[in-house]
Amino acid sequence: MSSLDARLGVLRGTAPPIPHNARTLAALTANPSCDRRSLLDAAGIDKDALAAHLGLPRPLRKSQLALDYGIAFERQITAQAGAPLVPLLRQALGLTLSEVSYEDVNSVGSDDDKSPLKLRRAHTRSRILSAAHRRSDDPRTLLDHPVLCLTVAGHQVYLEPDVIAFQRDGVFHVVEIKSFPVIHGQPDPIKANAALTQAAAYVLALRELLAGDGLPPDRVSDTVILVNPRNFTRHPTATPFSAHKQIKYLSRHLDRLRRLPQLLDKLPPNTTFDLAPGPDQRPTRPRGELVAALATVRPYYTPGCRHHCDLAFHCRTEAHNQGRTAALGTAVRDDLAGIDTIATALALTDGHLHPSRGQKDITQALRHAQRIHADLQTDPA
Amino acid sequence: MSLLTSLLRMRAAHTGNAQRASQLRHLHLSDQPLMLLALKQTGPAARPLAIMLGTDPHRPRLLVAPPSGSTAPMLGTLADAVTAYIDACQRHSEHLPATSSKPARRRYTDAPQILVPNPQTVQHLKDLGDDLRFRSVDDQNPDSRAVQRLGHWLTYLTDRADLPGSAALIPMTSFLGMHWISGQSPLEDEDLATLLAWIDPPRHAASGRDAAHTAEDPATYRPAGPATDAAFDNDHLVPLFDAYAHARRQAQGQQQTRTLQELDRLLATYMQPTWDLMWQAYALLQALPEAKGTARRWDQERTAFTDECNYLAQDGRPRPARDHAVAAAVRLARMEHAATAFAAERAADDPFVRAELRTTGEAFGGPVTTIDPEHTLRGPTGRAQWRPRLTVSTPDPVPMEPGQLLACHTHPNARYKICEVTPADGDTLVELEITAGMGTVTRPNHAVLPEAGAFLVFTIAPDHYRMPEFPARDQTPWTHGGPPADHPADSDEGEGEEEQ
Repeated sequence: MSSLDARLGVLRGTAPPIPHNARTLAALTANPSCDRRSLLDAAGIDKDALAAHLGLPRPLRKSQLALDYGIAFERQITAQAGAPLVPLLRQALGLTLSEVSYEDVNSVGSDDDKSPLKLRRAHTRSRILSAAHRRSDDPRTLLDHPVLCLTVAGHQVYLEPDVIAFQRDGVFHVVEIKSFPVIHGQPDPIKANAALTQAAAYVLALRELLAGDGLPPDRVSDTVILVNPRNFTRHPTATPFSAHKQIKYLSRHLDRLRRLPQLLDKLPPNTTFDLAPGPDQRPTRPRGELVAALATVRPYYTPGCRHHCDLAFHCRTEAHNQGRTAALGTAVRDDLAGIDTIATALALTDGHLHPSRGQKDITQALRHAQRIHADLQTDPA
Repeated sequence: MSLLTSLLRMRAAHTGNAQRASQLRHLHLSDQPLMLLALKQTGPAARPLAIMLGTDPHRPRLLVAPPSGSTAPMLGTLADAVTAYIDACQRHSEHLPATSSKPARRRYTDAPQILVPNPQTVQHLKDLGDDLRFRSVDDQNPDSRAVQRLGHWLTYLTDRADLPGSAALIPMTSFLGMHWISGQSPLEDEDLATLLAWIDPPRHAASGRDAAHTAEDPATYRPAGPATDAAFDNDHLVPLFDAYAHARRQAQGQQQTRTLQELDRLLATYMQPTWDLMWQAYALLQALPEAKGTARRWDQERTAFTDECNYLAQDGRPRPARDHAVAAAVRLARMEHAATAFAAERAADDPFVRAELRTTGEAFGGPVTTIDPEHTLRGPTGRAQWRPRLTVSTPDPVPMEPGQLLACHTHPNARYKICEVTPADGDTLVELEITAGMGTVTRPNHAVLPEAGAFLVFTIAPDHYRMPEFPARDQTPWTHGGPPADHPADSDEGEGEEEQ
């Protein structure tokens, strides 16, 4: 394991690793075939810094307005020891009044606003285990800002769910506070799916924690509660969603991450994505070198990457320069399955290239389409 | 997406210039469309930041909502502007004589047409409509009725936008995409600036690709909305919002006004480039000749608009937040019908659409080789039925079964049945029987018979459409009834926007 860590450390260089979080774990499922992303994420490389150094647009830059709005909404929900949250969950989960109690793990054991992750994790662990074994007389029904641990590709990753709710019949529920609206009972399906995939990471982490103490996975419910603004107001509403699909999907992709050593073996020796920050912390690495290093790992570019990857514009330029069919979208790529570049496809169409055995059918179809289009130009019928 | 469009997309990417797709315009373009750009504030659902609208390319009107506090005055002005445009469409009406199924009625000679940059703006307007049409009307405040009415119209228009072939509310990028194929991905095509750069590059640009690359330059690039980009939020909006909030807390009226004026100026320059692009796109599309079916579809649009005006005058209750089961099924059936009708009409009118269908196996084309004009068969009663036959030799693959009914662009009302498909060397011979549109033995319509050697394209005939019968609401089983009593949407009414 340590040798794997060392090799990933070499890739990263001198910068401190950026740990996985629920968001990056969720992104893993968005494009699982991308070796480039898997490797960069595993090594904890700051992709946004790479993109900035390469002078590229940064598609995932966060708007301060969006952040402020999200924080204000979360504060509103968890204000006064979770008072606004309690009635929502009582309705969504059927909690009864006497059971509700609330604890914030954020400032546990210190006067700071945020205690160290490790400490918060230890507290979360003891709270959850004591609740699960019913050791305490005081059932902690709501745990705010808990910290969980999930093993990702052999590494411990800290995750910070918003709230964990505990029900009397012994089942834990993950609660996520999100600031996108649920309009007439329906959230934006893309945002809801992303939120549920994040929540799936928390469910897996919680199950890992309980499994360490010999408790079965079904003590953590597949049902996740999303708390969102209702309609066009800032009143919260809690909706239970089944994250079963996302949990299965995510755990399958986490299992796949074990293939890291194979990916590393394919790299040329001395490959590194180090930005080589100078004394003023500005990156000094020549851009050409960095681009060449990135080119050693196979990407799987789709135009949708810009929604979840900082490096999307780098891969797009690369796909354009190589004339890849994938740069024109998934429809073109799927239509031309088996032909990687536009130049090959056009050469096959125009008869400059002889199709290989697997390309016969698609070549015939392309030539047919070409003939019809040519007829259209001369004699529209 | 057909293989033909994939091929053209690759050609565009390879040559650096957009390729022509359909050269006939299938959607009506009004002489005076209402151009509308919308920006929403990052964060809250459907809180407008700014709207630029107007029918004159040189005089856009900009409405800006304050960063915090009530948006009611801005929405009131917007409601007045949109209502004035819609009212202008109701100035003249025509008389429609009674038909077998409908009594005589009047129909407005015009209908509103709103053009927006992209599908995301349609979604934003839909959200805005969902918000506004349930606002309560306050008799003290005359604006409130206009705002509720605006919500109603936005819901009507965005609903029409879901209907294929409707021209009431059109996202410009989708409209352009019907006629040109760029060398970028469909996802990138949703961006008006780059799509238009591919299609109609500035004169000094070497190619559409170069122009698109230039258009993406972060220094000059302005997204068409409704979301503002993070850099613009952080660098320009946040300082102004903070200044406004500060002035508001201190109750410094003057400072507040000054900040709002600055916001006005900022957003005007932010939206102006997109405004110009919209009119550039409009001019390009207006230059295209209309397809035959376009005028008829616009007639339907006017009928729908007239019906909606009558509904507003007679009933005027807002559409429910969520349709109950029967209404949803009716809506789905309408959309499916509109989609098949639009597809069939486009295939009849437009050679490019037929070419596309030939690559997807939904059509085939070729010269007529033999005709048997005298072919008759005995009907079940023993009477002779005239069923002329013809054979077409096509180079296209024909993945169809005998018995399939086909339509042909030369005689839209005629129907052809496949009798036999015989693969010959290279080409395929298809024997067809004319089953409709040829008249009878006594009164034959010989015009429907093609000449030998004529090149014809046959497309799959649209199924005869009948609106399925749905039960009345009280006849609907409870499983498919209205929204359940504890549904959160039930308690929406009268819930307004909050002060922030």
